[in-house]
Amino acid sequence: MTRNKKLIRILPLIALFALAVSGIVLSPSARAGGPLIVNNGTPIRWPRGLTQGGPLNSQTVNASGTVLYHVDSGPLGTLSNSEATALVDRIFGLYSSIPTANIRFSNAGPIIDPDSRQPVDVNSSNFGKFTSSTRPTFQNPIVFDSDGSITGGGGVLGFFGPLQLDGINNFQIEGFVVLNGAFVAQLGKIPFLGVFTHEFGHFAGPLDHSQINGNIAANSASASLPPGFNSGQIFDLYAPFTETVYPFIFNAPVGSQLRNSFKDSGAFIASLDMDTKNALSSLYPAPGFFASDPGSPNGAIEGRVVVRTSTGDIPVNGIDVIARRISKGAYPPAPGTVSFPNNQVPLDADGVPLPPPAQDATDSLATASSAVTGVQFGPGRYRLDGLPPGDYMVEVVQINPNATGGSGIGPLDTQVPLIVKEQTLGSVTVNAGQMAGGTDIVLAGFSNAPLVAVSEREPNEKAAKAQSLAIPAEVTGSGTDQDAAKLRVIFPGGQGVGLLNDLYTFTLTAPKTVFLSLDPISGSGDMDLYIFSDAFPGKKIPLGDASMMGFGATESASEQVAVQLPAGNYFIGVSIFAGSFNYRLRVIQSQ
Amino acid sequence: MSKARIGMLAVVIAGFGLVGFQSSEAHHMVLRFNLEEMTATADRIFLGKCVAVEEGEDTIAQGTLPVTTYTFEVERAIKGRVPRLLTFQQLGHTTKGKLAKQGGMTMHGRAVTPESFHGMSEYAVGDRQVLFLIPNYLGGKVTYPVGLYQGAFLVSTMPSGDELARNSINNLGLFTAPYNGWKLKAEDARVVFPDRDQPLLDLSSGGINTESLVRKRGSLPLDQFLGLVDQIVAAHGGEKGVVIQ
Repeated sequence: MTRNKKLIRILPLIALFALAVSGIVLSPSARAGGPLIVNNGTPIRWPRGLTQGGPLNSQTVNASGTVLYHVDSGPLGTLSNSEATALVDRIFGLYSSIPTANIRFSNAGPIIDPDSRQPVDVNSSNFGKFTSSTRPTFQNPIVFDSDGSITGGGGVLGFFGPLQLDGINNFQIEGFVVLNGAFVAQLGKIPFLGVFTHEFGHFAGPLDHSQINGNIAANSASASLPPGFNSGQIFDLYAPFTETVYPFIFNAPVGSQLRNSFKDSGAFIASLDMDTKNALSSLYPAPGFFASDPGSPNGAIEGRVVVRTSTGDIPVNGIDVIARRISKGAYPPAPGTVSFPNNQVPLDADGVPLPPPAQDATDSLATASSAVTGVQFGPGRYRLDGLPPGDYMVEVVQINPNATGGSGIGPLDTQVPLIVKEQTLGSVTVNAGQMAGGTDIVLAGFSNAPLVAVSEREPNEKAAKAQSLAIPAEVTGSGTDQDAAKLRVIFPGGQGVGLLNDLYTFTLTAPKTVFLSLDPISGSGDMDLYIFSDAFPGKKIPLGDASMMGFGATESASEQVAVQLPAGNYFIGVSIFAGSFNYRLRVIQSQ
Repeated sequence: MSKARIGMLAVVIAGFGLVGFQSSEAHHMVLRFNLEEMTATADRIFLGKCVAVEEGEDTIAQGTLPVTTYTFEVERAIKGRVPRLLTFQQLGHTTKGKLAKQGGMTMHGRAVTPESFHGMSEYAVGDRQVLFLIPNYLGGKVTYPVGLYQGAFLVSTMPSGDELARNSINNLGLFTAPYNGWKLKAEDARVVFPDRDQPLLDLSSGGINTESLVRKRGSLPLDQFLGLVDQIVAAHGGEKGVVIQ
């Protein structure tokens, strides 16, 4: 058996929010509005000192820690080179002028051809020179794909990539961005600018996505909408407060007053919101940003998100926690509240909307920050830094289930289906220089019935012999990677198989959200967890099979899966991938 | 710089399925496509089985770039002239199964390797897929499905024998995403009408149960799905796909 796997992915179960069934994998790693790439919980960042090399001996970061980028010499669709360069410089100027962050970005001139040593128009005939895996040029190239021939004809607007990563020191050594000029005219210059303000955030941090106001502004089915507003009014109030790194652009609906000038949210993300500024500041903090810094004007909130059971709390990763200041104005704002007086949006010299004017009624939208649990601070934990003093409402919200893959938010490939999509705590007071700790949130909606204690009963490696469970249940079992198994999960791409050593089964008579947690009691190695329906195809179950409802198959000994299931019969498979364990499996369902 | 892991991790990241021509939501920085526009955008549409996957490098646009070469045994061509044994390349290496072991890097819960192209669709040996491939680009060296992951439909066979097809966003928006203007505008619609209560043209005379297709969420019956794509190709004056022996 090939044992070089480990998958942390649900393939066909992405974005099943609209269905009765959705699956997730829970594993700790990144946080929203935080680092895009993490290495065992440590964020990948830009080096803070001189970084240079390549055929030009050029610098990607100079001695003072400024990130240097080079710009294409060609046009960008309908934009001239000078117009396009100004666009790029404007965006990097935003990320360079965050007072609480100590990172800066600077235009180091045109991209230089390493052969001719002359400025170059990067196009489909030479693109590889600047993104080659064998000959990096250390230029942080910003490429203008003027006619779309670099990105191809598949509807891709552009892309960002780290060209060089240092997994030892956790640095991004070089990155690049490609802007598809074929879309400038189609989108319009200002929404295009917004798209790439977002995109350059991935380059700058690299920052992850986040979700606060955008999901509400979009009238997403996964959002809890404020009462007393129609969809147009919601857009008009919330869209100007959309977080720059919210992963979707959305149209202004019929009934929106702003729609006359802004057909979508793109223009409103051409400036930076508080959460995005805080995210970059968390990676590159200026003195005083953290509450623990001497004389800091900011406070912080931290805590855990858990599922509470009769045998203890289970920390849950991948939950979006939002703090909104409510001491100036209530949340949600009262019906009739607008972001801009008379819905008149002032523009700057470039035609970009200015941020909404400060007003108490919208302070809970403007003074807001978010984090996803389970990143740098332990299982189920979150921390919100850079909060101005005041009273805050802390809430957990359903992350948009479409936020998967490249549009993901936080550490999970697919999102946790919350039973209650918005759950708020009472007021938490934030004082300058202080951490409001212990702000824990118990996820609502799960059964509060005591877990039924069950001991594993062997043999249980055959489906016909699967041990029946009455849930909620807590199973204590044991196994080794030498145990017998009749069913196996086939990982895609020849990455190996997972043997299902212990099988359990349960029946749902009505649709439920089911949460499973597998943890070691003793032992060491690697355990995995699967849940699949009784429609599984046979002894070999492809991971992408429609019967596979969810799985957790990281390299960890602990796994969590949360899944929305229709009524039916289900199997739980425990796989001892490596080592030997005494384990505890907890299965809890919604009320 | 010996510590540096050098490669091309292209992250088509940002979201922005642009509604209208920015449909409400999509992954990555890519337009959302409904099925009709997806069909119009692809130059090859086929049902096939992946029989080989090989990761390597190729000289593309004067640079050495990571690529994955896929070989498919084509069962049926819906659009374009497709060899029985089709080989094509996509930029980047696959990410499936490449979990960050100790010391490994992750992004959104998935392993990150410098050679991966986050958001690019991937296929495993044995997968049956319906692929909507765009014309080769970058000197004809590479391609990818329309809308990256949107135009790749994994075929599953249920215990009942029924065959189902779905892409990695569970077929979201196939009939409801507005025309994004990349290849078609709303006035070009022949079969898919996202703004209508009944977004599919009645094709019952052609054996397509459009009402049932619209009602379904998630996986679609393979034969009905392929039949519908056939009809879309024909509606735009396209010739039926051909498998070249």
